[in-house]
Amino acid sequence: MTQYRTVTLPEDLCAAAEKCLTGRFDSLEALFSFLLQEIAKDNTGRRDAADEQIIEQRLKDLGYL
Amino acid sequence: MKKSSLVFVTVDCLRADHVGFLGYSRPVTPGLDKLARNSIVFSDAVVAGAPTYFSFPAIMASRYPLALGREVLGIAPHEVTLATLLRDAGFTTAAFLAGNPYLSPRFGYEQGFETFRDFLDSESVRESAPTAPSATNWLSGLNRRIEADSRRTHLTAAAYDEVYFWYCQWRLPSENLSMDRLRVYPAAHVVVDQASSWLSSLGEEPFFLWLHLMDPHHPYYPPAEALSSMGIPGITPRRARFLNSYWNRGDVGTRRLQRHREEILSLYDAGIHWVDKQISRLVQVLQQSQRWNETVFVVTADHGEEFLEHGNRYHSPTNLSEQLIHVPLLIRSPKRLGMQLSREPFSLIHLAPTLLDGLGVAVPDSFQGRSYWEEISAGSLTSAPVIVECVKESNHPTQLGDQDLQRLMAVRDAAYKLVIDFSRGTDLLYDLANDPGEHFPLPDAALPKVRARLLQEARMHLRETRQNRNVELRLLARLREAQQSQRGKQREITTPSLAK
Repeated sequence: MTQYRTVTLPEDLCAAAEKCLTGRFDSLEALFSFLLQEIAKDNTGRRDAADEQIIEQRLKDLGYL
Repeated sequence: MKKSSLVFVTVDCLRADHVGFLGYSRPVTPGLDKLARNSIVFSDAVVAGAPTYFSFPAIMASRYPLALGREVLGIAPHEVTLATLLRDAGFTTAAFLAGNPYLSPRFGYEQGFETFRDFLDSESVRESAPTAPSATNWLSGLNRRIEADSRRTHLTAAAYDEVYFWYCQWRLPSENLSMDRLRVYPAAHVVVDQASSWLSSLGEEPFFLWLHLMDPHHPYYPPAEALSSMGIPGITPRRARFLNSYWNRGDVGTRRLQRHREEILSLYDAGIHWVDKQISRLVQVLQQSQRWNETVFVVTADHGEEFLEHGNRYHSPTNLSEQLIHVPLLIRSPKRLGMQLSREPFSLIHLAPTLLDGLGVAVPDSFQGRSYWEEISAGSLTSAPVIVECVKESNHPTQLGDQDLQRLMAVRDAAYKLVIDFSRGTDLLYDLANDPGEHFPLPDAALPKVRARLLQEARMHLRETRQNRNVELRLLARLREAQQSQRGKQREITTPSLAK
């Protein structure tokens, strides 16, 4: 079962932001979920690390690491 | 002391070996050649990525194209760029970009510009190029059925494709055909006209003017005047349309395409020639308005173009050949007279910081490149390897499928080039001095020290990219893309593709 966490934010800030939300982000929950998912998945970091490992392995094979 | 202004001209698809000042034998660029005689000329300038969407983050924001992740295209919201820095330093800023959708506000390129015109709206772009009349329903149905049947064998499929290509050519209307009607992008004179008009509205303040010209981009429809000026009178609009259609075919091999290569090159060269003429006109405007002696004038390109040298056409990131990554670069500064030739490899990642330094504007820490202004001014540019990267075969970079593709990287110094293909797990080493065409990768065991040195550069680049990633910028860019795709504001990005 998914557990939830309550985050405390100033009411006036939330209200102001909600006025600007449209389309995909029709609620603050949708917006924050998107942002947190983007941070958490970090495909980019994983890919770069994988590419770096390929280079390191090649250097090891050549005897330079 | 009054600051110099900056005019920055980028030309889409302009190869280094197709300008006279870098040795091209055809007299395509007399204006640029004249300009080069009083400029710093970089004979070995290399882009940081190719094509446009992987090149411009480095040019405008001194950031490697994959530094924010391969899902991020263009300039991130609030990212510091050459334009934002010059605007904040008191320059009046304007951009006139000839209709490249990857250089639009969707990808953040308007940031820092008080005047921004991308011609994507656009009455300047082709309004009503003649197209084939629609086939009737029963004819379309019959065609689909014949095509489906033809796919049963290779031979019948080839026969169908051949007949269909010629049928389409036959059906295309020929009345009122002109290069201007066939062209997809606004020609350089349209862009220069608008830039000149903007220049005439300026006061005494320093300015930053960016022009992006698309004339050498396919489909190749140069103005008729450019063809006649180059002494190529034989290519009519109808012939040019045929040549472009044929060159775009995906169903014929290299040998058949080769038959039309010279004529396609003539069209490409005529596009460059038109750019050259219009750049000369822009220089005249600056001279006549007494601004020339206070203006740094820069000409470069975002990438080159392939004409079957490695079996490819256009500029798809299927490889990082010299035809794609080696571009012209000249910097004309009013403080220098005479030509200064810089032969060392110079990455365009360093161009923005170098120009800022030359203009007396502080270079931010966020830039991945650094200023070489001092070394260049002293004529002592030292040789350092350059990095080029892209997502291999990413021809539709906004689509999710492309974002899952693998990185392709080249590490290149003055003598050697290592191309690392992460999708294949290969690294091919080329001796550019003896094999400038990159046709013969050295044996795996050859020159291990050279290979290891270039691999170390690649490793360092990847490590720095990973460790210094700006997560905030990445998030802002992802948020922008998510909002745009949801709102349906995405403009369908289409460039002429290889037809079936």
